Amino acid sequence: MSDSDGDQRPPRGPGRRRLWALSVVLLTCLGAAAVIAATRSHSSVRVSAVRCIGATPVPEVERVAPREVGGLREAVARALPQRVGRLYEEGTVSSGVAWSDEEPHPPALSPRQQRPAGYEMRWWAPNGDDVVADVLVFASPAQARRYLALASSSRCHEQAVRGLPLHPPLGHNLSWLNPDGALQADVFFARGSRVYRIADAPAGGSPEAVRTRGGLDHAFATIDVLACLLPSAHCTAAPPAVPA
Amino acid sequence: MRRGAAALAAGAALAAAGCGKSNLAPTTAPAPAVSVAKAPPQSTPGAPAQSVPGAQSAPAAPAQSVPAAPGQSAPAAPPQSTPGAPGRKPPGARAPKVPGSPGVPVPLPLTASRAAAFARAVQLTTSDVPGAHDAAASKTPAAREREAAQCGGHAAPTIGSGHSPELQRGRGLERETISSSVEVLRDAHTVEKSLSGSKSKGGLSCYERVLARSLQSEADPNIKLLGVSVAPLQVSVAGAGRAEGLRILARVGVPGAGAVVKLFVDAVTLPYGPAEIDLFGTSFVQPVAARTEQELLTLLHQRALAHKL
Repeated sequence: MSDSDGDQRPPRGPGRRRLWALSVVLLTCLGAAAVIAATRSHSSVRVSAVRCIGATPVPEVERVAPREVGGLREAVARALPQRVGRLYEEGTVSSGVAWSDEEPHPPALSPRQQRPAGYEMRWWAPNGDDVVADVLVFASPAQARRYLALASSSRCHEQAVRGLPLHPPLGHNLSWLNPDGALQADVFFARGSRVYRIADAPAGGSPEAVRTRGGLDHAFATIDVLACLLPSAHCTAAPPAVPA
Repeated sequence: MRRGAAALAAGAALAAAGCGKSNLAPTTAPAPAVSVAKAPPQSTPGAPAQSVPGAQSAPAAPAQSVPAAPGQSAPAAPPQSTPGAPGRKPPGARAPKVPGSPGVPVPLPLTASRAAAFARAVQLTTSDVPGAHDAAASKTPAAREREAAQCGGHAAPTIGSGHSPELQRGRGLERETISSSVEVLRDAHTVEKSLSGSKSKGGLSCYERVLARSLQSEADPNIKLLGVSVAPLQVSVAGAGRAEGLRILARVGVPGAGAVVKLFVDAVTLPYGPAEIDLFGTSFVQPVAARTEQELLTLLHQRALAHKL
């Protein structure tokens, strides 16, 4: 066999074995480091977002009696009606959800305990997108407007880009990199002391890949239409259907 | 054993409450023009999407597993399954002892009144299921209940029990019903024995037969039952191991409308010392969210821990 052939064979002798073993260990370590780095980058995004927003006086949602939570659910359940998507999670949320994307809270142990006046439902859309609808109730319309201004701003949102949608009236669009490292499109609007958010995190690929194939534009088109399905949106004109 | 009867009751309740009754036909009308985007081949909203890197907030690893069942080849909402997930085991296997479960303190002899008080303290209420109201429970014929109970062997006598209201929320296709029940048996061993009987292949086939007969006889004449399948179901419960039970899938056709609607009935049991804590979820098109079932079972377990038997 030629030398080159010999190079393709498993290494022989203690020296080569050690070298081989070291290479394997090195590769394993590099792999592990890559995983840790990826995990850390996501968790550090979340931590930095939470820290950032912690330093900002963000209005908190009211607390309500348990029986009132049903009305909040009703307010967002129509965002993806008739089982179009697969509902996978729901529950009460606090106002930090616009930055942290924290999961909804589980039901409280005591049936009489007051709950945060924020409710979120999450669905997997038929195309694999992650679609979220929130309603957040504040003490006053002024607080709701302040929250809207903060939540739809680039403040404490990674790679944020703002915009103004055609629908719903007085809505605000925001694209950002969420704490899970995924691109996300949000639409916010306030009605009285309530703020609504519909979000869509397009499925598949890196943020760059999502941008390249127009996933973000599609997500904005989707959420602006879905927002108009909410009874409180008061869309003046019938929005077009969600783009195919 | 009593799981079978309970599952049958849930199935019958579904048949009576939603399976083809007057409100089903309108709900099978075409959905509004909000079909979200194109559906790529093999795109299934559910478990597969959870591995999509672009997913917004990766939900916790699905803690619910449903081995494939006959007739479930392409459900509209695929059951979440986690191959190799901790806690998964072959269907029909014997129920494992839940850690700590036999150690549930029972300082005094169990009586019917204490058992009932425990059941009342643990049960789900309307506050636990946002948007739900108390719906009237349907009555299952006693003969069918007895028949289903035999699927898992002999039913152990109950010292005391209680059940929640039928908590119903949503309209039309979005409607789902959730309820719970607590049954106190003689001891933890009796519970374990009771639960192990209903998971055999023969037991599942038996449930399928009984359910099909029950649904056919009780459903509205304007609908047609196209098939019933039963599969084992497992749900992880934080701090309490896992609950095991059944997922029933009934496919119902509406003649003239050309629509087939799937009905899912989940019935899972969490052993807690001498008690069985049951959760039932019925839903159109897709099962009750795994996360919801998991959280409600965790809640029931926490309440059980907080109240002495």
